[in-house]
Amino acid sequence: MKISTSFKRGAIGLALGLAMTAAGANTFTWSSNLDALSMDPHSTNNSFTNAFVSNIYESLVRFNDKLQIEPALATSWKVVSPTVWRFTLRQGVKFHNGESFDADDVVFSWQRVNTPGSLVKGNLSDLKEVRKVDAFTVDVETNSPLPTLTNELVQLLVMDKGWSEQNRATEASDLGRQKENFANRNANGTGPFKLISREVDTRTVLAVNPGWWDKPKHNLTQVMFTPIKSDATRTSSLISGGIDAAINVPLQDVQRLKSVPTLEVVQGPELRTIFMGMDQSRDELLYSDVKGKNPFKDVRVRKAVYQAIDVEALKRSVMRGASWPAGNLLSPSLNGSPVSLNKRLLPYSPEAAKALLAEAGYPSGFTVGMQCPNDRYVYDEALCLAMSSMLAKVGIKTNLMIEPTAKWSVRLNSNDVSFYMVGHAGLPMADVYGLLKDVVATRTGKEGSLNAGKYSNPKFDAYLPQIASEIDPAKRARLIEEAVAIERADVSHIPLHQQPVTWASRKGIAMAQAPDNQLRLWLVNVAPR
Amino acid sequence: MLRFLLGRLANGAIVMVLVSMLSFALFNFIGDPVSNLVGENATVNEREAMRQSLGLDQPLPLQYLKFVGRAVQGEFGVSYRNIEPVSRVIASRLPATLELSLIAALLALGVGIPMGVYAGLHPRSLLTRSLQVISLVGISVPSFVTGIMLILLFSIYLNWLPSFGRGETVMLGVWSTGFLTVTGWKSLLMPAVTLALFQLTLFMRLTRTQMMEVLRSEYIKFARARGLRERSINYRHALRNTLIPIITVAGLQLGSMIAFSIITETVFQWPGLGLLIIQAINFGDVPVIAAYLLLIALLFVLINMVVDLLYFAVDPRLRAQR
Repeated sequence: MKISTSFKRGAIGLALGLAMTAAGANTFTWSSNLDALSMDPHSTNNSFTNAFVSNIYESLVRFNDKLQIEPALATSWKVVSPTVWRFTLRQGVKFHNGESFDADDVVFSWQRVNTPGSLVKGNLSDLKEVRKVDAFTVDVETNSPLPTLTNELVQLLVMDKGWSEQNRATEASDLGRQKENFANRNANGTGPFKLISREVDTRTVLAVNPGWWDKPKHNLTQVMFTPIKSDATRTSSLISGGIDAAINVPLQDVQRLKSVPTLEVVQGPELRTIFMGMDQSRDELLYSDVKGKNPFKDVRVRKAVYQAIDVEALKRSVMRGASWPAGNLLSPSLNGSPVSLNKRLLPYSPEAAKALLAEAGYPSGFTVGMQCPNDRYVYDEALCLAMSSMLAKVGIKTNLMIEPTAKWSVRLNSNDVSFYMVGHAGLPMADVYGLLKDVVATRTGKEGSLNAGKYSNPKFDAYLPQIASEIDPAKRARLIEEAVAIERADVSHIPLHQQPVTWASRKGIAMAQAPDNQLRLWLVNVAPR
Repeated sequence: MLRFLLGRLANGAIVMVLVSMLSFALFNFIGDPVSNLVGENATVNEREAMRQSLGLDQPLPLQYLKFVGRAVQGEFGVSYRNIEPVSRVIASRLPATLELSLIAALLALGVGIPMGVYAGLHPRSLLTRSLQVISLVGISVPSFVTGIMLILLFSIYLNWLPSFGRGETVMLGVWSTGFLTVTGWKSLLMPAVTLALFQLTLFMRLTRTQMMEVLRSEYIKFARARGLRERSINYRHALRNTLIPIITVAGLQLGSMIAFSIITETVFQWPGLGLLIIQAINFGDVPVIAAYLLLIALLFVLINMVVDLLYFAVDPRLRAQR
């Protein structure tokens, strides 16, 4: 008989009542709309799951809340040759089960990342090999010179070789072979918190790792994560004190939460930029009344759509003031972002849009299907509805095709689109390259996976490998600026805005909000109540 | 009796096959789990490899046959969302839903039937009229509204009851129960009332109508003429004869409480099958959805069989015919 306890409120009250018996015992209960998919750091590739397990497992380096790279399991590194970096590992680090950490664990984790079931291997695809040099030194070899190696390495979460072998978890869970893995519901990392218990969709309990190598900036002793799917229930749990904090707070509840004196709301721009894509490859546009040709192939039409959409009005009336209108597809918080280009290419002007449409041969506009998700981005559906009426003013009639993510993503993957909404956060590397490669590059097996409109400009494509491998930051910045300028002039996509990260908590909790919307528990501080 | 049972079982098997085929045909419309699995930064090749390794690139009839082949052996595969074996996922969620439905059913029957009997016996009393009005509200307000209103009142304003979850649970073997802890009962209260409210008013109205109808029949008049005591007439003769349609409806309603507690479970983050299935649908977790639909079909088949058997117990005429 096992009793899983959850007496946070009572316990804290009791602890205060019993004076100092449990002094400093800070339990932090937080919530989001969904649970982490797995505790296995290599078996899934889902931003929330990756963020969650990063509190338990660590890599050689880590991001802080400004998305800057900090040493973690490595203390220092140097470039040995253009494609080989040497990392000196931290000594004296222990896994949660007491085993010592060394180079064998790093090499083992690299091998595990490359087992068939692993879904994070795509995030580390620029790495060629990880080699042990001695017990506390490893060499990381890349396929080509890689300026963003440390950003990429954040994804290589290190597992204990001995523990994995003992529990037959040396391979990531493989959905194809229908096998569950011990590491799916159990964990043994080096991180600031260790996994105590896990009930999927109910409660995941973490406790502080007293033997952590770093000096804790947080003051938590226990962390309770309880996913709550229903927005209204999550908000009322915050108000009633059932939880201390929540991420992914719905915008419509922000005013309500701000009106509660015991709560506070923290908002900032997310890395994710939302933009509109257009089919630029078919000879006849899908879901349209234009027959025999594709208006979006004409840059004048793309510019007309650009000028017909009022991003400030979207911010005001749809996003409740909580959006950051974007000048290009790259959030200014991304590594290497061309901040000088973060201004709108063309002003909002329905007249100019009409003139451009007439010039392109569509004086009375045309009809086109508009593909939008309704549970993927902040206010995605409402944004599309608002844009639909903006476009109607210049004569472009849109047939709204609003669908749940699972359906909408099928369209994107199979290019079954005409005019569509999509977003990208530049994660997991938090660097511009990933976004440019996924969204703007010509669609091939390895690139342009989110380029559903099949925009293609060889001049832009030629910049990509250079951006990927230019080590000199100044040169790389210039390359990025030139490439983005090409894509911008082409209106490859119509950037809308950076959507908000909205978190709420009991007053007095500092949560170190970051633009990647990841809660780093090792930076959370709870004030005594 | 045996022939009757076998006939029912055969019918049930046909229903199960039909349900499984229908549910598979539906998977075309719920979308693609691959994007949820590989993440938004996956390349086209990675997506394709994933689709192949899951067998999603094969034609639907073939996928169906493979699924049936495994299901017959009791093997439902691994959940795409949590990578856990589906049988384990469902088994771990079943207790929460069954406990919730049980309490809700007891509430609905235990309160609804006595209320209906009272209303049938005293159709003109003031209490009956007010019950009628209240029951109209209960039958017309959707359960998510009821749930949110309860949360507003008891969690936010009064702060008496938790707004989500099951509280502390105790493992009895493989069964996690919330019946043995105070927080478990506190957490159960609002979801159970929310789930029971509609059924409660339904049973009340049904019992009332049946009761009034039976009380008008000849044999009741005859019983009165014989000078039987009022109590005996009302409860031994009248009530018993009103029970047959109520049992039928109760059986079906219990099934739908288990199957369709989705809204209540979502509102209260009750970790049962309803919450599981809604998340599985959002994610495109095909193995879980398939197994769930089969389980629910089986449940309805079994409940209907039990209901048919209960007729035998309640209605002597059915026994006499055989």
